Amino acid sequence: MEHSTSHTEHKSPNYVLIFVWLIGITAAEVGVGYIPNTVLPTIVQYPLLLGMAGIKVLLVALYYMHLRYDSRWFLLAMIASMPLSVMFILALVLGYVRK
Amino acid sequence: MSEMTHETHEEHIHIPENSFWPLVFGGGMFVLLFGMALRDYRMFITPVGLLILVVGLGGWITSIVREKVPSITPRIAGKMAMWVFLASEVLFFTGLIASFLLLRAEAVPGVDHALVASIPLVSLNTFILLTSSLTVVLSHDAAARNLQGRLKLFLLLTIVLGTTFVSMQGFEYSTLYREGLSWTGNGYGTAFFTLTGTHGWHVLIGILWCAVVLIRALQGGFNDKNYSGVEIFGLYWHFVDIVWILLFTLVYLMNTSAGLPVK
Repeated sequence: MEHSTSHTEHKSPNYVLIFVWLIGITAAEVGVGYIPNTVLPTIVQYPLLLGMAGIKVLLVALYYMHLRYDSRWFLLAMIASMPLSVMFILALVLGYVRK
Repeated sequence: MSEMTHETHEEHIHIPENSFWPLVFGGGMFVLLFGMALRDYRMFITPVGLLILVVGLGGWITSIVREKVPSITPRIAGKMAMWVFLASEVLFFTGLIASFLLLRAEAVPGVDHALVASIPLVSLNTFILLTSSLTVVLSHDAAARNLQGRLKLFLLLTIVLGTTFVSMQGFEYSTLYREGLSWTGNGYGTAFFTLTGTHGWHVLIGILWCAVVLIRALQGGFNDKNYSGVEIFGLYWHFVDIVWILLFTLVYLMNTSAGLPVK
């Protein structure tokens, strides 16, 4: 437990600034989504879109859900579900490929 | 773990009174889903299940509001319980998203043209949901600073924004139906409406939860020492927001018609 679980023991992040980032990235995402595939191939477009979505997820989780300041145990609870999620997706994809 | 144990000991632990309302709610949910799975009696049994569910939920919420106790849940235990619940939700949505992506891979090319056409509307809806996340975190911040007026204002704004999101999703659905994309038309439509509809249900539940938190705030149930109810609700709402961030990208922006000019 390196980090405190108390709200008052850390300085609150600038929530409005994070919101501005979230909106800005969303606008960029929509822009990238509309670029014709002849200009931006999907092999570039899709990872770009996923990367921007990933940054937004991290911003919300770290600052709005306070994972950056809260106990690591909460993060662990969330991470614990990830291997099962990956296995689930792999099983579905493998089933689809074999079909 | 020492800090966690220390903080838990300092908190007042309130155990809610025995209640049969969760059982009524669960029974209603069972009848509702059972009715939806039926072929012949669906139109009769589903509304009955919905009615039982609404009565159970109403009774449950009323009993919580009537308690008027400052805290129901120890802060750390409540937060950990919510994180574990959210971890189970990750698995739930993983299944739905994976199913959607696989069914889309099998769909006829161009079937998602209607979705591309709705991107401007959905972008606006995404902005609304992101704004609601801001109001939730600001209400949490207000509760931690014992700013009662701001707490109530931001909770009210969250309800308004959440309701707007769901209403606009309903409008989008009606447009998609007119364009020929329906729940029962093909696998793609089924997967799309199940995935986004499930998210919509989560937002609806969040709105109800926020209303309960607001009522408790109006009763003076939160202060700078005791605001776990706002914090735990916030975790749920932000998670629903995160799911939408992913759905917006995966369902709308990364589809087979993306990059094509919208008619």
